[in-house]
Amino acid sequence: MFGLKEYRAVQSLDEAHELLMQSRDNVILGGLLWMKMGRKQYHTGIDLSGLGLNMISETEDSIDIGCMTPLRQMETSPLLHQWFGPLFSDAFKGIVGVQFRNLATLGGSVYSRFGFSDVITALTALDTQIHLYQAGTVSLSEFLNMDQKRDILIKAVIRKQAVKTNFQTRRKSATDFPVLSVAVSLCNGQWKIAVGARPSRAALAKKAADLLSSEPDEEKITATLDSVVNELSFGTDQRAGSDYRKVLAKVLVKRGINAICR
Amino acid sequence: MQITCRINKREFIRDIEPDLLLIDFVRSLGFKSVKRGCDTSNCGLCTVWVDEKPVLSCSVLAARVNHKAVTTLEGLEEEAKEVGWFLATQGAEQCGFCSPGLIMNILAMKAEFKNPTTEDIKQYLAGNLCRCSGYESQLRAIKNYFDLQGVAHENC
Amino acid sequence: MKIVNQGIEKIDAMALVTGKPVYTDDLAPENCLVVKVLRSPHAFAGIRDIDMAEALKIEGVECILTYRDVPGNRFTMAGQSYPEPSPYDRLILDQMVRYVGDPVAVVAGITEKAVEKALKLIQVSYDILDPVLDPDKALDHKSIIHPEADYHAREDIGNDAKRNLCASGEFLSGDAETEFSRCDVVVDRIYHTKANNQAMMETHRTFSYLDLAGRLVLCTSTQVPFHVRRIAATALNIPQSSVRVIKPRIGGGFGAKQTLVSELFPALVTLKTGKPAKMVFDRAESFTASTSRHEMKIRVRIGADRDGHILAIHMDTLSNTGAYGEHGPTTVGLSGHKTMSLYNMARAFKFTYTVVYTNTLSAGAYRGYGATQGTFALESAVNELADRLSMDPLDLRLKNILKPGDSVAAYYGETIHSCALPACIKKGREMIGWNQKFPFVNISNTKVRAVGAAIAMQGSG
Repeated sequence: MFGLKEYRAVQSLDEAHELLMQSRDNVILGGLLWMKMGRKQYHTGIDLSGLGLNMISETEDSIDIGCMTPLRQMETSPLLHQWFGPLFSDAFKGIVGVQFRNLATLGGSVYSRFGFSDVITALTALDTQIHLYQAGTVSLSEFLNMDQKRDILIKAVIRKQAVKTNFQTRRKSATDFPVLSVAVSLCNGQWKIAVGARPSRAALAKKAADLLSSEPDEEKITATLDSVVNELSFGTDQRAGSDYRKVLAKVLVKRGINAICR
Repeated sequence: MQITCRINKREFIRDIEPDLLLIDFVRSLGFKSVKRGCDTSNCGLCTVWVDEKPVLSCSVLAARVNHKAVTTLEGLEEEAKEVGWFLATQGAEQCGFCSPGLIMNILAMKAEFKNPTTEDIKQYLAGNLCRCSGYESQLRAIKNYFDLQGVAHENC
Repeated sequence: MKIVNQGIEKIDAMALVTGKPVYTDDLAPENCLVVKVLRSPHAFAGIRDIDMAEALKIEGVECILTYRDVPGNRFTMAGQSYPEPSPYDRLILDQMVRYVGDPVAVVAGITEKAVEKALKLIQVSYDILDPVLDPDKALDHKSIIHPEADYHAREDIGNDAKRNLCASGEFLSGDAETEFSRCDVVVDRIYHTKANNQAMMETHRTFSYLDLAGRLVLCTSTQVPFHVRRIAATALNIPQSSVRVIKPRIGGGFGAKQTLVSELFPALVTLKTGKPAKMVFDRAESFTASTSRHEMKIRVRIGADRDGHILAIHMDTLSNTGAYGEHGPTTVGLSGHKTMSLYNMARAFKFTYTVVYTNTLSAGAYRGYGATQGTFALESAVNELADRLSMDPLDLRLKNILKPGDSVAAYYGETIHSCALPACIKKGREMIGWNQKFPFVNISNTKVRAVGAAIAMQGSG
């Protein structure tokens, strides 16, 4: 069982960061869903719950989602629906259950950089920036690929755009991890195709997306699908082999494109 | 550390370990309806409400309910009997071990949905596992329960 | 029909749905010692030495028990009537460990944290042995899983522990080989079913205490309280009159609790310390250190004439009982007898079986108790036979199944008094729209929707 010697509900991000830097055994607490399954013995658990970071708010050109926002709150947010359609509710509905998603946080999900993360897949298909306490503002893809220094993820900032979205996933049973997940978006004639759980974490198939026009014909879609499986790496784990994932990727990406074109 | 919280409308002030989980905290106070099933944040047997929201008490630090209101099935006895009667008449409470967590989440769903479709029900309750049944008896019971609330739902 | 066909509320329904404390862990006294088990990381090893000096220094640790602290009489944990058909191949703690998860030491303490800490500090040195992991290679393997001199079987089960053979046997009715030679079509296939876990929501758990008369009380999540009493007395070397077993409401079992699993560890602690003790298996332990369904490899030979009269069936079952023999000699029988019996019109039946030990988790009871595995094998073969004969699989079954009044050859010649199987098959065919859907209908240019059939029987009551 995991252990904590101390629990601290901090009053500010400065206090949180100072505590985090004090010891490698100190840790920021997210939803606790994964952490409590481990066996690690931590010293201080740092709780950001009291800092008002559990909110989804609107600025002139972005939607900001605080790190402590539960996934369920994102699913049901009228603001997110208004701008991004059912992307988040479709992406999150397969994540265990409502009770789990009332605890799992945006920050915990993104900071952990899990390959299976539906959260990262969905955010990858949008224009998403990540605000970090130490490293400042970086794009989501930069964040996913940078050296993992100890830092605090404060919020995700999604640019407000007229965007159409679609999320597709394949699971062995309803609430299991995805075998593969796909988020597709179309904004000002520019497509984005994010493929996650390959089983490595979500990445954009940029060359494939560039082959598509606003209303692509069958031939272009076929070329795009071929490009997706050439451009991205697909691996093998307990859930599926790489060949199966490639077949799935083509089917799911095609469904996503078709759903947006319809 | 010391925490103050309300559980089923009663105030508790207790000294706790920093890593005590809410499930173990409420069980130690006698609220034994809360069950541990899976150890992996998956089964929903440990469902309680924190400030009216259904959560997995196996994955919440007791420290985090400081100054919050916790509800377990013991605090909802009348509602539990009502929902439970529908489950019982459909044979959906076979071994009964998952029933408290399921009922907590059915009641949470009722607060969010006036008119849940079959798909809504399946999605909302997907995180409540049962090993005895195939979920059909629960689905029948829940539809009957919502029918009696004077709420129409689609047929399936 | 006043009773049949009516929904009847169970007498415990309201207690269950209102979350009343009716399960084992809800009833345990607060002052129970926490009991946990140190488990073997090796599939097959001898314990050379256990150093628990550091572990015993942990504050709150009450006792650490090893193979030196348990009675030396072997027993089986299978919940079966005495004399159990399962061989007496266990001790509560043994100097030899036979699968990854076999108990090495029992630790009891005041808090879970103290016990967890102590478990990490126990130093065990092992003599690692060559494990038997493949049931196909178990028989006469150079590693003998149960070499112990006091190993014994209470009944004649075709057992030979020196060959890793838990049980074996043969059943013959008619002359199968002669009948096979008369067949126009013979299907010969091997079906491999894996071990599964029962996965009841409530894991294994037991608490124990001494009552006012000094009797050991075991309150346990079990399906077999009477067997628990007798087996615990044998294992702990105390009279049955000194053991009382309470079975509260249990959170599912599905056969997992038809074997003793968690009972003896707290029982041992209570006897040693005089204090109440409790053990709750975590989910990982429930998967890795309880009992599973028996993995089986079943060869089926089934032959018929060209008109679809089944003439002979031969089933040969290899069953993997794992490290211990719980329910090994009995589950295997159902794989043949509960399945072939349905095709009573056949002229000859042959059933041969071998149950082997391997260094894997012990198998045990699980819904269907061996019939499940046999049904999958035989019914798959019958469907293949129908295909080879170009016959409708339901017609093939209707032509060959047993009827009321039959003496059932593959079920020891017992008479079947009632049987509605033909009516069930006909009704099922009608309800599913079999004649329109068999073997399949195209529902799109990439999908077909198909129907298939299997029949099964099982005893209950």
